[in-house]
Amino acid sequence: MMVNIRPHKINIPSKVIEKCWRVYSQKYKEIESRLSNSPTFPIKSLQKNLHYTGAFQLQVSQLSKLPQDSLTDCFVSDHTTRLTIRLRTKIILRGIDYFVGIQNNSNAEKLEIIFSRLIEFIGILDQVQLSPDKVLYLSLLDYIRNYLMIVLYAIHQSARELGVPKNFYRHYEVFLELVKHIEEGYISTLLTNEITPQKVYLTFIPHLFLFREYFRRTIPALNSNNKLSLDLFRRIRECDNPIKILNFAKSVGNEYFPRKTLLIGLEYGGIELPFAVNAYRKAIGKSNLGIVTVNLSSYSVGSNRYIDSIEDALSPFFLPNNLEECDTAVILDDSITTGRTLEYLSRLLPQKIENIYFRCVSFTNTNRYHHLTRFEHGGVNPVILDTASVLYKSNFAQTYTRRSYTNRQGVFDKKKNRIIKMLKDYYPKFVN
Amino acid sequence: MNIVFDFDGTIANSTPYHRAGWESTIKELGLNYELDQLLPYEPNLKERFDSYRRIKKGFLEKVDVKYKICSYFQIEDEDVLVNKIMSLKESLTISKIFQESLTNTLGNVGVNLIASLNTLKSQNTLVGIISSTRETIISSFLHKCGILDFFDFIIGEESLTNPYGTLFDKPSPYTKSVLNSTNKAMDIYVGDNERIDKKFAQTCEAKFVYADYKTDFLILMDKLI
Repeated sequence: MMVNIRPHKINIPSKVIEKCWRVYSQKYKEIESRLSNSPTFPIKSLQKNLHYTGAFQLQVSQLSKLPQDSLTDCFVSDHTTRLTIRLRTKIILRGIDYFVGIQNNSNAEKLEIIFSRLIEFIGILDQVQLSPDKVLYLSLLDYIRNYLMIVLYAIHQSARELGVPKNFYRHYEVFLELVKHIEEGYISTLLTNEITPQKVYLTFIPHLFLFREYFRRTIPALNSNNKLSLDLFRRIRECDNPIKILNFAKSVGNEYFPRKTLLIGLEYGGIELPFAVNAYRKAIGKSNLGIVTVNLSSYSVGSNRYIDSIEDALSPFFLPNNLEECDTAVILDDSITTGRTLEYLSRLLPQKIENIYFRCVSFTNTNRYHHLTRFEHGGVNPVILDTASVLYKSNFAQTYTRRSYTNRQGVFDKKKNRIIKMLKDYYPKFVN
Repeated sequence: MNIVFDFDGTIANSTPYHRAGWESTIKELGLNYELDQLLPYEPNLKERFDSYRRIKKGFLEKVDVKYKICSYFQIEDEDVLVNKIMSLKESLTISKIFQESLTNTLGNVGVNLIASLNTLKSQNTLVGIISSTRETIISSFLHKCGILDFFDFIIGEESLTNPYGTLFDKPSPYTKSVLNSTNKAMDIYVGDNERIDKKFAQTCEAKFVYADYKTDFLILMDKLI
């Protein structure tokens, strides 16, 4: 069942939620009761190689069995320990360089880390043979897709602030092509446990150099917008768990959508989801759907622009005329709580798009009473979350006062908090 | 003193919202019928379209309609289907309330109701609503009109439904037990149905006062207090 959200009020006002909390909490509870707490891979053997943070992991006992190749060199012989976290019994394959945004260095330094790693990893990917260690291979793709999403967001923010440079559309298209290839490799390997190496990756490297140059020039100019600059390279993406992404892509990818459907990813949490859905569709022989990402929170990153038209929210590289060719939109996000962003976006979409569907990875509202009843917040209309629209419970902590979004210990997202704590313990010099 | 109001037809002319909610539901379900064909007029029900019995009869006894509804919700169980239809209609009714201009919504509130509620609250009167419409719809309407905070409690369909899913509508004594269980009392019940609402007031040992949304509530309250 797919609920067309177009005719519905998506955000129920906070006063109504408060007055009817008994009713709404019951409705939310019913939705949550269908959601999974413990995501599982279709390929069971991969399950033991996944750390709770969403990183792949290897047991120390597995190390001696790894093939001697550039992949093993890259991760296992990493003497800097910036790519992996080495514990007594296992190696976690997301180190501090995965979480570049969290490091206490400048944007210029973060930029150099991201692009030097990205170029290095794409070089390694090009050399991958038919039978590398699958966990290391997936970790390599994991790193690359992470950097690509960080860069994609930064490109959009930068272009929103400074405009799209001349002749940049073509390079942007090439960048999206790289995203597509990586995402297809990632989803297909997660799905089948089979690797199909391609020899196309090196052709993308000159374009990456170009983007690095672009950022070297623009980062100083972006410094005038302090909030945007602080958040240019995002810290942690909440929905960054391969199982959740794969199962979400499967769930949406298996549904029927008409040809003129546009997949809309909400930045930053949902930025990867449209690409993952298309990658899954490709894996099962379906055609690609149009993709765009939108950002409705420019106000929160310090831009002076107020978003009152869809053009202001769209990726600056997306031509708004393309929207007119669509009659269906599927909005994809990592989580939903109040439904305000979704309501705002659906109002901005042209009326020609008669059918708007919504899918998100995670949801939990029964523990967010104070958040939902906070002035002008409210809660999402439960009707739009019926059946397949959401898969997992979210990691948000229980609220205790309307003055804060966190629990008594100051925690908003329990999983994110655990990741930050782990990084602080392991890399005290890198994380504030 | 505690004053409890009926909602539909008493403090609000809610028919346009219920009707619009149902029409949107029919459109959303892709049914090629008019509302009056599916839920024919029954004089004793007045504004109320939301009877489970009527929905089952109107929607699920027609083979083509039932087929479309089963396909839409991907469910066959009739009781579950009726609930799903009701929830869809609830959401679309709420949407209609919020989509409407404030001026039009205020035009559907009982005459001078807002002023009379102000007076009642200034005298520390406990004010509530007992209605078989869903609490979420009632609250949305009152919120839109800016008067939700005047009401100390709202007992709607959700509260009048027992844990096994059976709705005990007015004048059932179940309503009285709901009122008692929440430690709420009722001295006066204001309703627009001389038969059901009056009997309900008697069941709850309260005084019945007739009013509909065309009644001037300031004059009415002057007489009562």
